[in-house]
Amino acid sequence: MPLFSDEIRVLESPIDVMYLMHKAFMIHSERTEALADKAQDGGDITNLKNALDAWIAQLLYHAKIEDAHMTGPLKDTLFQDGRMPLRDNVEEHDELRLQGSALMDQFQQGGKSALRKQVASVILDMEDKDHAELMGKVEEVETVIGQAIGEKKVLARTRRHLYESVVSFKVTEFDHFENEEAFVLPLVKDQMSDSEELECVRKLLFDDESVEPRWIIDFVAGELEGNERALLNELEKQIQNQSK
Amino acid sequence: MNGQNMPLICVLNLLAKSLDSSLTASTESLNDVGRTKSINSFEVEMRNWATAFFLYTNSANVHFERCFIKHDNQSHAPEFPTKSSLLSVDYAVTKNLLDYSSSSIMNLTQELFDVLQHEVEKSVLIPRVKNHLTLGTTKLRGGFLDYHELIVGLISQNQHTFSDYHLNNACTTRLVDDEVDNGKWVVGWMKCYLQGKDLETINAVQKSR
Repeated sequence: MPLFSDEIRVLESPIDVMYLMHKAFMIHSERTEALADKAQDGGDITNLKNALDAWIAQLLYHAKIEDAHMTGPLKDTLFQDGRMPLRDNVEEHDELRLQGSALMDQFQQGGKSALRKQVASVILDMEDKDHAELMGKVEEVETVIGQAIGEKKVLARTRRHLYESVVSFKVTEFDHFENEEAFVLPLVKDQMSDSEELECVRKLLFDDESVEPRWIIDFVAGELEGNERALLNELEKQIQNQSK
Repeated sequence: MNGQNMPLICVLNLLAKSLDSSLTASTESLNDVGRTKSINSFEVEMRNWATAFFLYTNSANVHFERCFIKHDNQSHAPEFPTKSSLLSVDYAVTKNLLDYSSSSIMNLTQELFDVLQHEVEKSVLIPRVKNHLTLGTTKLRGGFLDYHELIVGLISQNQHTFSDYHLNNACTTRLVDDEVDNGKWVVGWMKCYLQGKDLETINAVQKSR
């Protein structure tokens, strides 16, 4: 199979839907990154907030279903370089959850948290001072430094840090998708029957617990074009046939 | 780019604009690696960036120290000579904040070179590695702009000593004079990235040598 970044012409197995999903997620991530980049120049960030919300919601659901229904039932293997694909996959999901959560906190808290974090780190690094006394001054130092920099610059700094976090999140996501395609999907194909794969794919594309179960497949389809969207439609038909 | 709090003719501003433009250009050039550009030229650009940043840090330290009055009795910490909101923050905290910022940038620079050294094989730049290099330059740019805004914010608090050091391009001249090649390299490097009045300024400094 090609990488998700290439054109996907055929799905050799139901689980190959992952290539389509990864591709759709990356298209959305790159668009979000562009919005975060533009936001550094100022202006309204409603579109960025909506894009971030959708991105994180999709990834959290995706990781949760993979852990429970894709990698969960499989048997792990140990490579010579120490890699264990299933264990590593779960760890990468945890890292994505962590970064996603930090990104949302950063968005909600604004610039204060970044400046405060920096000041607190510096104070903890100072060896010849009473840390307790100085930590009590963090807010004061932050306020004074904020005044020295100027409100406008503090806002610019906030947007800049947000952009950095978005880029970092995208890079982590990209690495994870590549690892999963290279090391986990072969295990899925080896250890699951076509029917089991199809059921796993159904859970990945449809949220049984939502009043709008199609929110994932509709999102993925919305990001794909032409032949790739047709591949997704064909797979949906197979899922419907299996469910009958 | 920062600059509204300080006169244009401050070498920190000129260097900061050059450092920022250089990083932006290098990041964009990653898209051309393998077509019109080699990864080696990116590496050279980053080495030049690190050299220029080192000069920036030296000058930033000189600017910062000039803002404080040092006492003969070393048990008294240096302090601001004029009334300032920064009086409530002691010298050590402020100095540590600046040192922490500059060493963070050096660490980020080293991380970028580590990626170049360990991940780029046979000059081929695969998408994953390109992503990490882009992340590296993005972090570097963010860290540097934070640092520049901090130093400008702090030194601008003391307008008296600040103005003294900028009469007749004093701070720019000092940077150039302190270099073994009389600033030939750094001035040439800045000229690649400056435009308009900034370029005129640096040209004027060069002509006056």
